[in-house]
Amino acid sequence: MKKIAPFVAPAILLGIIFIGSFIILYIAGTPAQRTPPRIAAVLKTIDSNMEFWEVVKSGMQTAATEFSARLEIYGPWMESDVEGQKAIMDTVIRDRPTVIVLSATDYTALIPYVERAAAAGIPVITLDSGIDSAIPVSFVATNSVEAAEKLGHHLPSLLEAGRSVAIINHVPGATTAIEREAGVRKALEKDGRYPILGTWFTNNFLENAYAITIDLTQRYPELGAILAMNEVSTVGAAQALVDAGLAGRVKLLGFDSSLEEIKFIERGVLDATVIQKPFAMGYLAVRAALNAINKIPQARFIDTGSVLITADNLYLPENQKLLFPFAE
Amino acid sequence: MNRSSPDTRHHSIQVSMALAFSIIAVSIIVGAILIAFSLTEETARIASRRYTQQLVNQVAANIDSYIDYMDSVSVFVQADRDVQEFLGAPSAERRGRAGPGASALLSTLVRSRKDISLVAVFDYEGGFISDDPEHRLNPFAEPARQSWFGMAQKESGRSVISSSHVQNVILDRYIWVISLSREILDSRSGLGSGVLLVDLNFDVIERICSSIELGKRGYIFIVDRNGEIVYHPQQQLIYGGLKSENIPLIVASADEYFTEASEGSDLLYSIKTMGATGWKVVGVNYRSELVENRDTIRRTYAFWGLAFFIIAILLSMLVSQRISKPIKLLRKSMQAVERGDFDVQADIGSANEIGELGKDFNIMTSEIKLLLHRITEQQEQKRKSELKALQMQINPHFLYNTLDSIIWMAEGKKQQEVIAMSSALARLFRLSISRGKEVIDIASEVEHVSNYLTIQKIRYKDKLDYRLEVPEELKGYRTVKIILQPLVENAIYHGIKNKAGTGIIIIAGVKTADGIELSVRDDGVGMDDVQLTRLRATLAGGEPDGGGGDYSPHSGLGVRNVDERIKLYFGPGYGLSYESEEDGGTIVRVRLPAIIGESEL
Repeated sequence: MKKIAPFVAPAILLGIIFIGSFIILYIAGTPAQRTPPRIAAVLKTIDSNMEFWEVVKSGMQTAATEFSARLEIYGPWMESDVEGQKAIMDTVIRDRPTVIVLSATDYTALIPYVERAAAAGIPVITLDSGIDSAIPVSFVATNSVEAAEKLGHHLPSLLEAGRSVAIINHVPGATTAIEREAGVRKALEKDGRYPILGTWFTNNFLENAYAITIDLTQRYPELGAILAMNEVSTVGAAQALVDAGLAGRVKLLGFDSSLEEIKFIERGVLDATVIQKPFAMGYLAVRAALNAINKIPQARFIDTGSVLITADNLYLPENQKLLFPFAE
Repeated sequence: MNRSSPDTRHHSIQVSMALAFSIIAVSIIVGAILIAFSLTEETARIASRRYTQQLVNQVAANIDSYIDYMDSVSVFVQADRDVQEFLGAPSAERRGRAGPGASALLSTLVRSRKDISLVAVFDYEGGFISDDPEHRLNPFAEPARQSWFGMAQKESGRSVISSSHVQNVILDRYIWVISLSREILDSRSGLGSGVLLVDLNFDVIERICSSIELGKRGYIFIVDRNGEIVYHPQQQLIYGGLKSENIPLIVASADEYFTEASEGSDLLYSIKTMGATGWKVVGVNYRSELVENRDTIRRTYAFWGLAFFIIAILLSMLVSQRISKPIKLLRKSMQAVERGDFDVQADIGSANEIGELGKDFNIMTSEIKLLLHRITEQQEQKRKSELKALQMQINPHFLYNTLDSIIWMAEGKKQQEVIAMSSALARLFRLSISRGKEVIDIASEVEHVSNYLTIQKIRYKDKLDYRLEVPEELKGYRTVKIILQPLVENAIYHGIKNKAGTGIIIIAGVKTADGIELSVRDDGVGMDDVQLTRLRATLAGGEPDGGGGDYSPHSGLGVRNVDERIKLYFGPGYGLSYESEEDGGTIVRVRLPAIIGESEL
């Protein structure tokens, strides 16, 4: 006892200091948080006239603020500028952000870049438009099939059974075109009461949509409804129905929202449209990106949801904000 | 008791004091810092809360002023003669006349204010006038079917504020607004004749709210009295179910401030209820952000905490060392005393209890020293008196022999011898007494021994011869009394008595460099080596020889007694030394200091 006393005493002293420091540091909390994660978002376009993307950005910004992350948004000016997006990806990867949120302009062209990001240890989240690769941790987008099914399910409330329907789609091979048509067909075929005349493609030209609609109304007098798979097709078809004097008689169900579409809904030309939730998409993409950094397991596909808009629910408070996202 | 043990024990006092002080100090520091920290944080939190409340009040006041303006516009329009006329006129003709005037008034009101997006008056027959003659009604959005229209009618004359909504009554115009509507009562009949609409561009409110920063993540939102969201920066998330606010609690709350009831919530609500509209402006703070410089405060407190720890521990060590040091000193002094050093003084110097203890210790040490000295003195006195007694004891034995001789001589009618012997005996005793003095001059001592030899010469006749050869110049020096007589007695009884023929005893004296040396020499039987060694041992302080040999205990004791007395009075450097040879006689040398004078030692 006496012999070890000289060792015990300093040990106890050290213990006191240690315990005291520990208590104070514990209560005082961990000093200085780590640097916030850097999220690099490479979108399809940064054109501020693109309302959809503006809303996506504000959703991303909201999430970044809420979760204390740094958000940098990049992207080409035009959605069709695949090469531009590639170059941007190249720069972004070299800048080594903590995580990348990518909305791919092309289903395959961006794959090498995503692979490079993965090799550099940067997780990738895809937003709205994915790529043909298993690398991205999650794909945050509207479930197009499910969104299109909503139109199919809404049709019986507008149209008596037996009337035939036509599908006006935008670009053959485009992911949204394929999935939306699949959703519509799935719902209608399951219902079984509405024969589908076929699918016509507009190649994303309003005039084509208009012409196709005029042609359809002339060729198929029994035509009960037109299902238009995007905004251009919807507006073109609506205008054609108005001009053909068939507004209200041939039902029109469309996709997306614009002022034009809203006016057509008010006028009763457009009976329903399915809209996406870009704000939620941006918000959830950032949240998924942060989860990916923190290695929190999450679904590979995150559905941001869609809403069926009709004249009845057009001005409901929750839909106003979706249809008119900005005060000005 | 090994040597290290007192040291270790002492060490442990110092250490346990240091430890106790440290524990107490550290606990107090921890407690104090935690309290101070929470107080600081609480203060910052309250300040931050107050700031938030001020911002919220400011936003509410700001929005109130817009609504007040809308209200005053509506009051103004309602009372206007042209408007009244426009609504009151039954015929389309009069309506046509009043219309432009009313329209001009409305456009004047709006022109100066960009924040007012629309002022319009609707009659109950589908007619309307607005601030801009270009405005056409949206045929698919009948005013009468709008909620603001119905509510105004219900309130008959009082103004109604709608929540935020998209105003679509004007063709091709979809604008987010706050609508104030009021049924215009006919100034004559008092009946409702139309509805007035004042739209405030919602952008105004959005800008007011979004410009407010509450920490990094905090925000402001507004709900109306039904819990409908008027403004929320994350409105879509709420509708989408991705986020929720505790709206029922906010609507029900009369308080200005509360924390969200849901468990684990990080949100703090500061609420201001607006008077005119019943809207609630809600400031949302994140609890974790409330104290902005929390990390700095934490770091500062942690730093000072550690600094105080170190200071406290160093101080404890210093204080315990200061306290234990005098104790250590005292202990050392005590150890010195233990070893017999009574001259040690503990110089503690501190004016506290330990200092007092040191003083007491010093007093105790000197007391002990004095006491010891006294005891030694007493012992010495005692021994001296014992020796005196012993010295007295010699006499009866001799006296008996002498008196016995005198009796025999008297019986033999040897008168001269009896006289000589008796007078010698008388002188012997007178010198023995020597007025109680222990130290006498050598002359008296020589006289003493000569009287003794006279008596013995009478007794032993031809058997004994003697010579006194002490020089005159030595006779003034001092000596312890009765030292020669026992030596002579020894020489007679052990040396000469056993010798055949006459034995001679020579008493001589010489002055040496160190002092004086007296000697008693006999030519008796002498001693063998064994006897001599034993005698010397006896002189050196061993037990007086008890048995065997030719020396009786008495005589051995007598020689030693002489030696001791000399040493006692003159110091250890003086005393007896024997030299002897078997059949060669014995010589005893008595070393004495050369002291002259009467001084009693």
